[in-house]
Amino acid sequence: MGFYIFGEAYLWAFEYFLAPGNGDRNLNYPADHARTRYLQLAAKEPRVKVDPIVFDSWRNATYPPGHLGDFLRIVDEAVETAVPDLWLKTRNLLGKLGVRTADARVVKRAFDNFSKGVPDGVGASLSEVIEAGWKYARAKRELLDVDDPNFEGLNELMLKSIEVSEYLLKVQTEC
Amino acid sequence: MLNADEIIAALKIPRGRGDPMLTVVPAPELDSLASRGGASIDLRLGRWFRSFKQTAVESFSLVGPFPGQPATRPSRTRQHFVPFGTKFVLHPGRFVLGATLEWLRLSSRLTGHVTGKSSLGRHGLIIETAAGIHPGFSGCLTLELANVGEVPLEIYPGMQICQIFFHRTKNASALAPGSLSGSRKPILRDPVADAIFRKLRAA
Repeated sequence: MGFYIFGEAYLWAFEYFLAPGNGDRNLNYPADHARTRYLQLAAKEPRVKVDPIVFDSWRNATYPPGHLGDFLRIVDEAVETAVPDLWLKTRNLLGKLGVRTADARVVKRAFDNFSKGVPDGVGASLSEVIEAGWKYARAKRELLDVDDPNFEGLNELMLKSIEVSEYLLKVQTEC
Repeated sequence: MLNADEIIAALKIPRGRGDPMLTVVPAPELDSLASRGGASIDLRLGRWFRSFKQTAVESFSLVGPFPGQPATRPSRTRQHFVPFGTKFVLHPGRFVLGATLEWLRLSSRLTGHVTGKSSLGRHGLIIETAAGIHPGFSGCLTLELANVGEVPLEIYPGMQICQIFFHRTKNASALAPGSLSGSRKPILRDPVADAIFRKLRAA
């Protein structure tokens, strides 16, 4: 669902927040490298161009010894079998519910506005603003560092863009 | 000072020449501006406020700390988020910081000044008067709102709160690109004395 709604930005957030680690198998989720594989699979349909660096550094999971390790292998294999069908069903369900995916033209427009130091002012969805923000931060590598003085500035532009979208939605709905 | 037609022209992206002289987000209603024929843009009140708490602090230095002396403490403040459709009540004698809903970006060739709206001022709401906006400014404007009237005043995010006039600057140099400096909330910085004042104090 996260990938469906936030598209490429979800992949960047996944890499940024989870950060490729030592490959230890977390008991609460499928193995990290397997999760990246599922996301790559999801990115093929609908086709999303993904920066390969997002998937570069993930390592295969190290399973604990003994029965727990065997159990986790079986679980991972079952999940892997189910994922393609699950992704198809998720897409269909969210599509039927009218959940919007990001419009690349709006993302480009918001990105261009951020480059000029102004928020997007015509109305963009949450996913479009977030994707544009991630694109801008990655284009200016230093903005991935929270200590960079421009990091807060980009946050402000993104949050203001969302606020303006809410304002426009209310004004256009109520007029 | 720019007239309505010049403000409208400043908001437009020049053909093949990069950024407009003026950006206002969300954009003002140009038809209304043109038909009114004035020389300013009305700005709306934003959703973030910063109020000052009652304090036992004896006083606060508006020139910053002096060497060898303890710094004075400003009043403690509290941030408020007020959703659209709800009100903020400003009581008589109280003062609060607000911000414009609009994010402005002025090019290096433009400056501005903000004034309150007389229709609000006549009911006791005083808004920062004749505040200068420097060329290259980017962000929401911090507003100093005070109720000098006799009754509590209801103010609402989204209402028209002030107006901004624009002037051209001569022989302006281009702005350095790539800096993201604006804020969408009211800004409250500690004051700092300039070098000449420090010399006067030390003399």
